[in-house]
Amino acid sequence: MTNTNTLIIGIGNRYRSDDAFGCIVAAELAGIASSDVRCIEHDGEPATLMECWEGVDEVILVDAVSSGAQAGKIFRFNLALEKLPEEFNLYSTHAFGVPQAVELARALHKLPANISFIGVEGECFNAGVSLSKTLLKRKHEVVAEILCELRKKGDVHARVISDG
Amino acid sequence: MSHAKGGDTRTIKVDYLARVEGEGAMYLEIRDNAVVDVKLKIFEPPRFFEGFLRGRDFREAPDITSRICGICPVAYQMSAIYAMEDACGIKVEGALRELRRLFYAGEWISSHTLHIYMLHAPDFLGYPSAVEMAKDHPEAVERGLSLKKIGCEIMSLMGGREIHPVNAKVGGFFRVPARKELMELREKLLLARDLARQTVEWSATLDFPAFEQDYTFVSLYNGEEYPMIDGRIISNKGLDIAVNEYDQHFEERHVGYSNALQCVMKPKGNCYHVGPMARYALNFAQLPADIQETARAAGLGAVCNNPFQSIIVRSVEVLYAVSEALRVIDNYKSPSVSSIPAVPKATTGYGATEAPRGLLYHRYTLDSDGIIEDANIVPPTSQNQKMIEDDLRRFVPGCIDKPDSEIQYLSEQAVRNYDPCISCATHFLKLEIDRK
Repeated sequence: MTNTNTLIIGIGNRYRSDDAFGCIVAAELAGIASSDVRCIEHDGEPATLMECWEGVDEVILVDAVSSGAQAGKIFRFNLALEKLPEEFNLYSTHAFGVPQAVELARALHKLPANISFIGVEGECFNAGVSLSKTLLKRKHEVVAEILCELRKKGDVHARVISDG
Repeated sequence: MSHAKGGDTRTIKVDYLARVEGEGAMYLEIRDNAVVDVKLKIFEPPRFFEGFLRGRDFREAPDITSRICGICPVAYQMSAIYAMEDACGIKVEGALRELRRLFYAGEWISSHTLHIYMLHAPDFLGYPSAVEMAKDHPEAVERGLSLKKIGCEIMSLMGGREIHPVNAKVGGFFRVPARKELMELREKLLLARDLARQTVEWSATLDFPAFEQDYTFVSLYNGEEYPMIDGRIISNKGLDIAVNEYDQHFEERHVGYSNALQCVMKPKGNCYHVGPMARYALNFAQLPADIQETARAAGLGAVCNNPFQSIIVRSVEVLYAVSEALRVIDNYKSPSVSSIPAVPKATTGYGATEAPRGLLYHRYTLDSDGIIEDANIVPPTSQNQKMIEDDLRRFVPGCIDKPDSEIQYLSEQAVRNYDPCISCATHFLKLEIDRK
């Protein structure tokens, strides 16, 4: 993927336990992939989220979800082809969050051609700065999975830009 | 929604009212084509912010209270800061005060445009959501997103970050911006001013139900500028009090069906209206002449009594906030200090500022070391709760012959006129209509 630009967006809040999952995955990927790969942390605010991926060829969103599934379950969606499910809509300010940002971008023809979502069912969203043991385990799996994808495309370095 | 019809009894239940912040429910009881009971039920658990403020240092209140809301954290910070400064006996003036108005303007722009374009406009244009609306009205939605972005940028610059900002403090700011940083915002704000004016014109083209109320409007007023951060608390029915007299004239009451306290006026327990329409009605004269002209061209008088037209008023406030931000930037002279000292004493401090949704009152009692002994926070949605119920009680009879589905739609719209933030008041709003 050396001739295109790739953006990994870790969504979440570092102070709400498992909600930090996306942020921690993005941070871990820092320094691993090529300079064409940016890894950022984001709070999920739709307008700025849409702005982040403007002009980017490939986007991977990583987030903790709370859908009622068993903690640690990994969800993967190709957002260029499918919507995020309704049950992911629950936890956002004014019911306007990541799923709405994706669908709004789609409606406005501003969705990257390649955009995928990796979500992991969280166990604990209480105030705190540590992942649960379940998500700590999943963090290694998801980082390895994304690295594997990036390596297939030739990326060996990454840099982290804090955003939001 | 389930809908059972038989004889003279009809029951309608709607499980989810979208596009409001927080968890609650609306219950309408209709008998013989008359509305006999309306309840805004807020069942979001109490959040106990006032409880865990007790025992904390007075300087922590702005950062703790900013966590109450992700949409209007600046308002919570500012009301806490003004209350603490009142307790410390200091007054922040000059460039630091101007920067607070800039900070607040950013929040108004961001919060209002979210509500105008993403939450409220779909009601008027017949879409279930902004996403559906964006397919047919991409220009409008993009305009809203562009405006929201500039609001967020102001908040990020002034607050260190847009969500739960960290840069404001009792006495001023931890860091004040360099003029160069503000000038970078200026170019964007010039574009935003055009977009804001277009927003006023566009919102005026929407169709509004014919419904007016003789509201008791309550807002801050200082006679010199459109209110954001300070002033006396006045109403259009003769109230004119200092912020520290708030508790003598307003009272929070518990109602059994809601986890949020309802605030009413003493002594009769009357409801009142806070927010954009109240600020506008009580401060129209303080709007710059060109904005008054834009408002009039949009069909507004000096007072707007139709809550459905609050979307126009909110748009006028966006235009004002953009203009005010430009004014502050154009006149900005970097202050010699980023904050002034604040020394606590054993006393009670009072603060009120104008959150996007209306008057936000804070009261703190400190000990001589500045430890918070008691705290009271009255958010705008708590103050508007009873008003929302009253609006529905008076509005629904005018559409009582319409199908239940239409009453439901219009009632939800009537609730959203207030941009209610239920999380502030204590997340989904369920609507239940019971016809007998």
